[in-house]
Amino acid sequence: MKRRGPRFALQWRVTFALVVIVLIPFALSYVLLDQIGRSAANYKANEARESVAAMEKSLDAYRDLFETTKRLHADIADRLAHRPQLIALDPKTDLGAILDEEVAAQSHLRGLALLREDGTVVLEAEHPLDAHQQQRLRDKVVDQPLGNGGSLRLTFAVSATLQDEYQNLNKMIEKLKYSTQIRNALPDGYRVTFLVTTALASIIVAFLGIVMSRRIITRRVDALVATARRVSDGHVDARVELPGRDEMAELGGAFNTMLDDLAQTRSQIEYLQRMGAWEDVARRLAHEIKNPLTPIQLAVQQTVSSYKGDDARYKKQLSDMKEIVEEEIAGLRRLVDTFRTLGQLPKVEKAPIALADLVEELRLDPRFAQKLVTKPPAEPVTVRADKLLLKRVLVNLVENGLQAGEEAGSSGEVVVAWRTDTRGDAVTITVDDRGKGVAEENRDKIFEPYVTTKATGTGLGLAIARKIAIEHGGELSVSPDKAATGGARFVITLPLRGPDASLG
Amino acid sequence: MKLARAVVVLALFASVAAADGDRTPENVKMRFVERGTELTTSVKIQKLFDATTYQALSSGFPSTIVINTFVYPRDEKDPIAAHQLVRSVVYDLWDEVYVIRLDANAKPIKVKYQSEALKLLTSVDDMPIARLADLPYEDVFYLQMTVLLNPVDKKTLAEVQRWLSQGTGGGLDRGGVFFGSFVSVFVHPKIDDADNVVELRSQPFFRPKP
Repeated sequence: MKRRGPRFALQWRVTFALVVIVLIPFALSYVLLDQIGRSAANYKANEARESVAAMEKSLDAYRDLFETTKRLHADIADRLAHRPQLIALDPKTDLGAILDEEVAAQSHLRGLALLREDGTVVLEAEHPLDAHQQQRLRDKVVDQPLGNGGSLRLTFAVSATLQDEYQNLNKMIEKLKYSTQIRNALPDGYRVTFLVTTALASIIVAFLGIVMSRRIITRRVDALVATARRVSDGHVDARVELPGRDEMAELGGAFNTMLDDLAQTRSQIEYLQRMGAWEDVARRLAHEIKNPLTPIQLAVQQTVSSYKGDDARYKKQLSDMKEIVEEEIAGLRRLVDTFRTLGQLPKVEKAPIALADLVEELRLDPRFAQKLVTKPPAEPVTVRADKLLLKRVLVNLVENGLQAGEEAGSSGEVVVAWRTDTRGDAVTITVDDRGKGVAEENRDKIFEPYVTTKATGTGLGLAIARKIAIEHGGELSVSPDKAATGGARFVITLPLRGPDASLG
Repeated sequence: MKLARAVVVLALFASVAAADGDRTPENVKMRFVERGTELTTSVKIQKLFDATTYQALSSGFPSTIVINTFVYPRDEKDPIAAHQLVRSVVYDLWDEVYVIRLDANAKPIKVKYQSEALKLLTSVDDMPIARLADLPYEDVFYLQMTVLLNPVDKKTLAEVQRWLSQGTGGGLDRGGVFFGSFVSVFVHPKIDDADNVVELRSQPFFRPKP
């Protein structure tokens, strides 16, 4: 068998097809993902930019709060520094009252001190912080010169956490900026992730494609090709085993069936060729033998009748001779008749026949009337066949069966059954006897002409029967298993469909 | 102990190498003095602050300066010693003073003026750079100094990255965590390592035999 192209071409084609099938939706998804990623990133980036802008305004608000508070403190300090009793560093000044005034004015002033030029304290007043205030407030000291060398020290209570909050807000802004930068990089990350995933998926799919195409297709195709090669090399018994329940397994089954059919057809052709040769020989022999028989018989009869003597002994010898010769001539005539039968088998003329009717006709033969058992199927079966020839086959088989039974010492009963196969393609007729069966080594030989296992057989009956079956597109064989009756089982198969169909 | 030191050196070197990019170090004259068992250096760091970062000193937000030093034998690429100094400054918006820490463990210094703060922050005085035992006599070395102004807070960055790339991590979002982790491997945002990075390289130096 000539190879066309590399052996793995199919495998790679399947793999390539699988990868392409995977890649097309992946490519479309990639474009889509890219667009979605960009849109989402832009949307989120705009959102983050707006948040950052809002938070930066909050930072400005914090800064304004610091500046305003400090300006307020400076204003309070400046205002108090203009009080005459403070400028005079008067020790009788009621600092507590001034402090109370400022506290009442919500100035957050909690301490006042008058300091001389050398920094020593002249007077001081303070509102101490309670425990709760100490946790959230801290002091902010403002030294205000009084113009006389002395100074006024003002202690304000300010928020201890304000700068931390301000810094935390800035940290949040930084985080948002980072997140924006990362978000901007996310679409690229998604793209790379997608490509990596796609590449991995493609590699996996390609690998699976190689493995599966090898497992499912190419390995079995190889097996099929190898079997075909073996058959073409002369190994006609080679068969392929394709596991599975798919089309490939079905193809393997069909391939094997085709090989079986080919083998059977080949066997049948060879058989028919052998039969043809035998028929030719039989015709010649019949002609050559039959012609001299009558003159021989007449000559012997004339010889015997022409003796008029009294020699009783010689007379007896002549009579014995005549008897022997006539007996042998009768035997030869029978042989010649059989030869003629083989050589003059009529052409098959098919017509629809109800098998049940055909088998029932056998009962009309007094030899079979009491000893034939039939087992018809539930549904009647009609075949297209030559009624006379098919009947001849059945008669031959039933006769043989009865003889085999008698030789085996049994009642000689023969069972004829028939049924169609499950698909209705063929009908199988079985003829079971109660004989000793057919030895394995004789199963093929018994269908050859002039081969017989019987003492009085001519060896042509089964050969003719098989020829008739083959000419009907069927087959006659002997089953390797013994029949239910204990003897041999002969099986006639006739097609019901196809070119050789027996069914009209 | 040696192994631990080697690991620290390698870790520092790796972090700086990652941030280094392809900057060319500026050659500056540094002063080296043996102090006890260690060699110290003194140098003025120039060009670390620009107008924006200088202005930001008074913003009330903290600024950080990380100074990494590596001592290399001449003609070799592997450092034999590495040190790190982390400095910080924050302007107290209430008291209107700059609170400076010249080392993570040092006491804070308060200065009134921004120029004073700048001078303190950019002056490296007697910073230990290597153990004398690691510097054989007469062998020639040089010092490479990498100074980062406000380096990116890796923790914050990792937190944000995790926040973006991972879900809540529970229930139905488990797949999201896995996917997010997978995606984050391929996400490389363009974020600068620091507001500014200065690379300095000293003149070659050696320890003369006593």
